[in-house]
Amino acid sequence: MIRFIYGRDLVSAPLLSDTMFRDRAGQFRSRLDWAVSVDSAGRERDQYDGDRALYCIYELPDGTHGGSGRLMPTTEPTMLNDHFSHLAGGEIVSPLVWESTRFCVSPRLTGGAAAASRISTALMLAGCEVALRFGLSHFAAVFDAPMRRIYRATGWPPEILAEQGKGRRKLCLGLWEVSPAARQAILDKAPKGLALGPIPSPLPGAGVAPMATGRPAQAA
Amino acid sequence: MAMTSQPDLAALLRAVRRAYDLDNCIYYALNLGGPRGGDEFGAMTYPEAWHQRYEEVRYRDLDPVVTASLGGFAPIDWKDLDWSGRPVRRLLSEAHEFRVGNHGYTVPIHGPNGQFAMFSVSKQCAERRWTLLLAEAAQEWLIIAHHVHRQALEMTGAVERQPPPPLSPRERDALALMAAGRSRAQVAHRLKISESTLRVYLDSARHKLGGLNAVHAVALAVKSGAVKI
Repeated sequence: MIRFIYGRDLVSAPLLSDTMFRDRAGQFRSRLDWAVSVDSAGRERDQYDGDRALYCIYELPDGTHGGSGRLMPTTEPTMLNDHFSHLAGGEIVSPLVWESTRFCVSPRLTGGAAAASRISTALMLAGCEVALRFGLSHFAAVFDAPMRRIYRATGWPPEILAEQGKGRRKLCLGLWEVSPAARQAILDKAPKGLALGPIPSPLPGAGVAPMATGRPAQAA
Repeated sequence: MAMTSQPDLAALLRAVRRAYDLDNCIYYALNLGGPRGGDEFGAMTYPEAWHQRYEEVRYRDLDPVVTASLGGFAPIDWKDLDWSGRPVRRLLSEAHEFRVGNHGYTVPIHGPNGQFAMFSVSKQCAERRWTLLLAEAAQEWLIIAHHVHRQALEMTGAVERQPPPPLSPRERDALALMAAGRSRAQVAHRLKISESTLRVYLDSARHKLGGLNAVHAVALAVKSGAVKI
């Protein structure tokens, strides 16, 4: 199931967040050999893992992390504007444009490419869904070239605004336009049976206990 | 604590209320950040009596809208919140008496040095009508929320405003071509980008200049000399 959790609420989902930070170390340090910092417990974190970062997380049936992305409006400090503004020729700052970083599918997954593709598609669909709900116009992200194929496979490819470097290490700045058509394109390409159901809003403490409202907490 | 209210801000909120046929529109800064961090500031279209009651009972300490807004940047549809528990239900029923509206939407704004404000709209209507309104207006409310916040910061002089980041060359080119009367399609073609990407440049420029829409941004850019025509 998909969960949206703010950074400050990650403590209420210890297993999920711990496995997320470990999986990130597995993906970004071990697999991609990025210069990221990993703590003694094997968790990868950076300065953007603050209280208000919004995590879109795919939770596996055993309660661990299956994949995730980290979202932040570009009106806040972002990787894009702090480190890669030369790619866009200046800073992109708008409440309608959010940055997505640390897009990650768990290296621990069993089930091969099909399982990974299912999770990346679910994450993209969830991202599109909440972006429509929030009234956003675009997501922006800097990613390495091999990710292009993965994004394309989800049915929602980014438009590449700029590139830097060569080969597998090439960095791309991509923009995703948020629209009902994008959501439909993902659904059209989605693996059979991928239905996320209603996606709950990021609410404080939502990870602690199901809300005691008359409204049932629904999630797929 | 007493809240300083601002007549100009109130007029802006009334205009928003009219434009979207809402029942209420509220801007409420709980923390202006910086040296005046503790000061509150805002304006609303609610009856004054409701504001007084809200303060007197300190409803804000248990208001689920405030709690959710403190979390981060995601706009909040009030119907997604947990309204259970006796004190919260009392808040809800009193809000109803003061005709706040049964549906509402809040855009939380967080800034440097603990700055925290909320922009909310509310309306009494059927769920279907509310859903349609949200789909149509959520994006505009996001822009308006930030615009109102910026106005509030300017009015109070609460924070020494940091100059917004400079327009990028691409943003300047886009504005200049728009100012010369080109259509979006023509501008995108000229800059060799898609119209979708052009939208990002124009919107980022709009935000930096403090405009409400692309036309407003073009006017502000010309006026400030950032773009020459």
